[in-house]
Amino acid sequence: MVVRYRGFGPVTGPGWFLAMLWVGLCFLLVSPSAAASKPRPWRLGVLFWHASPNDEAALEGIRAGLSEQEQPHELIVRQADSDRSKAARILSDFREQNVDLVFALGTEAALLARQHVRDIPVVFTAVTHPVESGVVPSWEGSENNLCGNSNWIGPDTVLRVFRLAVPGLSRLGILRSTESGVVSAAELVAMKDYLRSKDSPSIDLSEEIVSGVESIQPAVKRLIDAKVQAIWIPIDFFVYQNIDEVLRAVRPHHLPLVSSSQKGARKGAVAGIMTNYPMLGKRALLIARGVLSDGKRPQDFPVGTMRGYQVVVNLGAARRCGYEIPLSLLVLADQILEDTRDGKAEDGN
Amino acid sequence: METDPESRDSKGFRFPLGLKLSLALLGAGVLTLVFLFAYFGPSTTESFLSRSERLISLSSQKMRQLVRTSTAESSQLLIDVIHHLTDERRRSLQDLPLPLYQGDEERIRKAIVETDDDRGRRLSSNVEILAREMENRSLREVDRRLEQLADEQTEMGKTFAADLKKTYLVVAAGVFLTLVGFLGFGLYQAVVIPVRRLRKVTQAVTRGDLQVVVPASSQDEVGELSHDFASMVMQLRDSREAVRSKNLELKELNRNLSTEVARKTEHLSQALQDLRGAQKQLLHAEKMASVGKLAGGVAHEFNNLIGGIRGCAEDAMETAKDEESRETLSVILRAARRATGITDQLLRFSKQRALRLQAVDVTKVLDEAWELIAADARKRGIVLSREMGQESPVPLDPDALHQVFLNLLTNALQAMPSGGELEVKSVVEGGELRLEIKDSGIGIPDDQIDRIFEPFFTTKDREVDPDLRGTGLGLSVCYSLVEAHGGSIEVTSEVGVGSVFTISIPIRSDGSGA
Repeated sequence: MVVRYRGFGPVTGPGWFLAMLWVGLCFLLVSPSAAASKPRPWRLGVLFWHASPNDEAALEGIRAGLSEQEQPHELIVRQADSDRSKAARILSDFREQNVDLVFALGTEAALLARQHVRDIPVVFTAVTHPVESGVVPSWEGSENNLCGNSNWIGPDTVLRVFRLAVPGLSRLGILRSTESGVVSAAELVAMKDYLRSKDSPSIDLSEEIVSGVESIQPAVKRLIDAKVQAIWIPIDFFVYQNIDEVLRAVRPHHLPLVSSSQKGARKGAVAGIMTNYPMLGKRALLIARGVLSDGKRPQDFPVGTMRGYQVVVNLGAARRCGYEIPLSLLVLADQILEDTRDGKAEDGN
Repeated sequence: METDPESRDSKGFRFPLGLKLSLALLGAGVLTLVFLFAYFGPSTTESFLSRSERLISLSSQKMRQLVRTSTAESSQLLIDVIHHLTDERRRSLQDLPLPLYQGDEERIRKAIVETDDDRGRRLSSNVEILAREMENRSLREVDRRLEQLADEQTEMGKTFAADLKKTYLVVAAGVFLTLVGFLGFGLYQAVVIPVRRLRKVTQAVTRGDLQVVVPASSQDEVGELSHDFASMVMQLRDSREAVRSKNLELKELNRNLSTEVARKTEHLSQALQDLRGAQKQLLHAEKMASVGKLAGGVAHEFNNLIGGIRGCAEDAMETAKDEESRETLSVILRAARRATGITDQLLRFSKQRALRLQAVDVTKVLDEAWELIAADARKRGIVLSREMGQESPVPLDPDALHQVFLNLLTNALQAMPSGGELEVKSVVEGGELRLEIKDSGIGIPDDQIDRIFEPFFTTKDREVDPDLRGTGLGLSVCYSLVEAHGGSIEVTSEVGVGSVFTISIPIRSDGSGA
């Protein structure tokens, strides 16, 4: 801790000597007790379900926050490699290592921590929809040792970006798979609820659900026949993995893909929206600090969300499908991705 | 026939029709071109200048519009960026984990500055891409506008070219029509009118009026044609006179020749007819002579034999006792007498017997002959009418005449089995006695009429009526007896109407017959 004194004038002569003497006595008197009350370093376990840029960005935010507040700490970072038993072993190790708190990064990690950790506070982050995924019963918080925040971005914000990407949008197609899981389902439910509200723009949704690679092209064709102006790719790993098949189907029609995730934009959507993951990590650290330093209980914290968001524009993807992204979106983009020589998208950084 | 002497005698400069028309067309074309270009030229130039000005004005408008649009878009973008940045900054500040900084203003300020810096870094890192993209889009927009401008310029050029083409077409059409008009007028004046005149002259010549005057014409091909036509008409007139003269001579010759030919032909025809008649009579006479000679020889021999048979039969008759023998001998005698009659006729036919000419009352001889058959005639219902024209006796053999009448009248009766009319006429005329015996009997078929005077030829149906059975010598005897008198006998007949026998016997100047 650094204490700075401001607003004093210059000190000279005997005053200087007395002042130095006073300081020295105080140091001698105070320093042993100060050393005795210094808090022990936080021992923090960090669980990754798998390697994820967003989760890693959130971890970077946690690290930055720890550094900024000069909190002594020990971070034990472990990755489960998408293996539930390994994740369980990691969590068991955390308990044996007497960690003070566990950071669960991502939805799967949060669910596993909820299952295997009962006696240690768990702060989750980068969980898109903790309520729909079952991490917590409600956005007001849990009734146990879990708390944290979400990277959820509301449908009004998502739709605002989509309308910037596709001016005059009135018919939006949705392509998702049967394996999309609760996250994309939650996205769709929230979007439909929002479009039913009075203040929402008038936009029709056409949904196609695919169950295999071979069903992608017919599904896209049906959406094109329905005269959609853009296709929304929700958070769906199956569609991400087969995004090239989707792109082959839409390119001849110059139909843009839009996504509600950074990954979707990186894979081939012309625009995506994401939260500020480092800031999300810092805000997760804020919750951890409340638990560890302020003595608050985890169930006292509601699930936190972010106000800000970042827009990712994939200029290369737009060029490949012959779609021109409006300048009004381009100038607002936080990230503009262009094609590299190997055809992969890279950001402007 | 006359021609314009001025035209015929003119030997001056020859002005061909083609040269005339060419000069007229050239002059008309030049005048028309000058007029049309004087009329359309200024308007075309004015149109070109007007279009150029419009194009420049349009280009200027497009560029101004582009600048205005770009400025407006840039301004709107700036406004959007400012709004977005303000909003984002506000939201970012709300997201700052301020409690982490425990109220330390310095750290809070630092966190805010870092946030702003981070945003600034992100946005500035996009500037290069954004500038490149905006440049590309601006260039594309400029290219698009320029292409539009070029298209409009091209379209305007096409329109101008089309207008120019129309002008050229109008000019060309005007020149063409004018040339055609001049050509037509020139042709009308130079060709049609002279040809019409020439046609009238031709029609007059066709009608035969060679006195028509060929009008004088110009010193060109048509004039030459008129001149040549006039010469031709003159030659025609001379030729027609010559032909007319020759034609009269020829007609005279032809008429004489026709008369001569007709006369010769008539002579030849008559000679041929006479020759044929003579040849026929000669043949018939030779035939009759041959037959008569043969029949005479045979009849003489048979007559001797029959005389012997008859004498013997008469002797036997005198000596015969029984009735049967007498009856047989009676039959033999009847046959012998009949045979004698036949041979007698044959001898008459063959003129074995000499004529005994004496003055004969023909009517009396006819009556004697008629008495012999009158009963039969009445029985058949036949009426005899006679018209005897001779007044004095005629030198003839009365037996021969009696035989002729008897044979002809008998034949007439036999030809009228159901009755009819029999006419006998006689007249002396032209130094000959002509007798005509006409019946209304069955007539003689044409295929038999030439043979009825042949001996033993008969038309009587022996199977039907044995009483009518003839020897075929009656008409032969008639023929022979008439010929012996130097006469002739002819027959005309029509089947179903009747027959007419005409006998002509010359009367000698000394009053005797043939």
